[in-house]
Amino acid sequence: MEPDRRILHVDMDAYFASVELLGREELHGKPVIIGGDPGFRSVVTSCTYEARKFGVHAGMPMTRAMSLVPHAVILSGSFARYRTYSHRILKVFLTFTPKVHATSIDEAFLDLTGTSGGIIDRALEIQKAVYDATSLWCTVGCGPNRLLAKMASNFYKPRGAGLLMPDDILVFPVGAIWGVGASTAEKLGMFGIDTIEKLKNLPRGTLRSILGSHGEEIYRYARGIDDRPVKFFGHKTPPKSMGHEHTFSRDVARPDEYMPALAMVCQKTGCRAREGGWQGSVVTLKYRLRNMKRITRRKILASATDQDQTILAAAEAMARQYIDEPVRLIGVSISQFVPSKTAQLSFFPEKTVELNRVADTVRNRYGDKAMVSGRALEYIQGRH
Amino acid sequence: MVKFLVDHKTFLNGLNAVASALPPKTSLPSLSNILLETDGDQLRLAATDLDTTVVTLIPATISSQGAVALPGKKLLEIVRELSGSDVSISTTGSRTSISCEKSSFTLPCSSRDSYPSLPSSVSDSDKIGLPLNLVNKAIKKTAYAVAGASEIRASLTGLFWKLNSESLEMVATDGHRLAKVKMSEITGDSEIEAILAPKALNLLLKLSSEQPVFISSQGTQISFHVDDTSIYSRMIEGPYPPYEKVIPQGNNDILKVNREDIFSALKRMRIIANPATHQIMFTVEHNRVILQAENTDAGEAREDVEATYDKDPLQIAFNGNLIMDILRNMNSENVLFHLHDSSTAVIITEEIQEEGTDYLTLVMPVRLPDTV
Repeated sequence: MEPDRRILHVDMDAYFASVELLGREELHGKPVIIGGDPGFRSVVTSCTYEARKFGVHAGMPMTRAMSLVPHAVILSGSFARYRTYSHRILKVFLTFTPKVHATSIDEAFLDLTGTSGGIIDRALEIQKAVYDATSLWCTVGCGPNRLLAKMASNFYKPRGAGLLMPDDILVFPVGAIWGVGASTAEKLGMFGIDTIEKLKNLPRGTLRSILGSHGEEIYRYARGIDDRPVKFFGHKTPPKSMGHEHTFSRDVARPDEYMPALAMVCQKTGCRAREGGWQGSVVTLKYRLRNMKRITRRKILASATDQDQTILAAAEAMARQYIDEPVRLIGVSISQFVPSKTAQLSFFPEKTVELNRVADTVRNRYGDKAMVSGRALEYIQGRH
Repeated sequence: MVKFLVDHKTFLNGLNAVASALPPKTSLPSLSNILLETDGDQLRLAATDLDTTVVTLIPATISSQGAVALPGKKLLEIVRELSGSDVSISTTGSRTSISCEKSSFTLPCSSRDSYPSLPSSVSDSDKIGLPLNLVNKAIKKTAYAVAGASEIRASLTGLFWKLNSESLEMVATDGHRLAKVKMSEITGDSEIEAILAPKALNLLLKLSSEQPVFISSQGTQISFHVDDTSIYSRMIEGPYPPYEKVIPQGNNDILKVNREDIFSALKRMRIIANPATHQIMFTVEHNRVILQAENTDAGEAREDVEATYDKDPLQIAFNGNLIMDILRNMNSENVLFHLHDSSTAVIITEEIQEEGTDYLTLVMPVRLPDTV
């Protein structure tokens, strides 16, 4: 049966160990463990399937692993290499669909909804394409959503490809569900719930009283329901806010005393926004009074900005209006972001765009304080 | 002590005219009052937020001359609910009683001194008379495009007004969209160029009369007079941005589309569009335009709209809300999008302009990721 949504979960088989084994034919078929020096309380990062047969798994203390497989080959990892291969694999995925969401260095979700052909055939094609490009094996789990695709990649591991539908998982133990860890499984075990089928028969209210708010999610997962989308590759979730603050060496109340610091934190905030590719439309001024009381004031801008000068203008207006007693700290943050690469264009663009672009280049090479606005000059001269 | 009798309906109309000038919130308590002041056999009603002041005169039977300031919103609420033909008002000390038929109310009140002084009236010879309905039409066609109060550049929060012996031109822009109307049927003997607060113009929109609106400017103040009601407004400080320069001259690719078709399609796309950017993609092809919206959290939407277009295909994205605002304020059956490329402002006009009206709107697109 072909699912409506076609979600694939690709999980690289023993990723770190397999990368280490590339070009080292002599190690093939041997138990290989990737991890640090056993003398330094290090843990297993990854291991080959040959080592797993002895009970070794990632996260296990190296000393314990060594006692299980005394003849294992120990290799220390080379993270840069894992990343290089990870990029190469990602490029392969992107030839199949733009909706690729890499959840870690060695696994990713792919959304192939709307593509033709059998889903398993597609999975095998991807597996082969990854192998052709990297000589690494992966398992491709298929399902109507992320939950089942991920359960499928676990189930068909290693070098496998297969589909799981909601009815297929009923015989699985509860621990196979995403989000059911050891402690949740134990709680459910106390009620005699060991399989997903038994879990599915529990009324919603009962589940919620056993597991709290987490129960709601488990209720849906037991039914194989999961609506989470696979986002387009490169989709960035906007940060909640970004900002900087400054603590004064002595409390200050006058604008001429706090303005240099305020100008500097606005500069840092603007730089960060531009670097991250975000524009914010809310400016928040925060300050702390002598008695440690924290006060915040917000101003909504007419249009989103990543310009220090615009942020400073809004922050200064609020500071002049509200600060009427000594403060020990002042800070600014911006929020409500939109990506600058899809920014609304303006008839009268902010005049500082070019200026800040040049200043950023200088700062990237010579440091934050290499180029500052006149208003922040006193700050870097260390008078505050 | 002030005491008078006033016709209920006249009183309510007068209060309605001035109450819109009451500030929504104020740190000066006296500004939440409406001033009632006798003047011969007339009653003067006034409200102000210090930038905009509305004054109206209504006939009344005055028993005792004087003035009193009453809580504006409460007074309007009470008078709106009264039933009866005459309302009698009398003040004793700091209490004012309002009675009508069998109802009576008592409100706390303040003296005349507590209320700001009103702008001095303008002599008739300094006023220019203009047709009220046409002026209001020009306001409606532009006022929606002004920047919100949070705009840092004050000049963009107002409407630019340019009256001379040839026409009245009104312009509004928030930097992202612009609306400009030029009405050749409205002319003035003397020239007035000013940036006007939208609040004053919205108050003017509420007034209807067969009589013309008389306009005059003195220093930084402009005033509008319709029948017995006067609106005084402080001009917004300029200069107004060089709007003529931002109107592109080389937009020769014309897309013609039914206004209601594209409006309702945009309304559907908006359901899915990103709630922060309202971004909607327009793919303009031979005789059709494809609208698309997508939001990773909400899904995707697409609609083909029939159009007339025979130039090179073009992709351009907009904040859908800006386009909808523009279309909502147009009347013609078809509208024309004058296009150039995906990063140049787009001119939107009505296919058939009303006589004597030259109406042009402009909107900046949203940057497309692959154009940078």
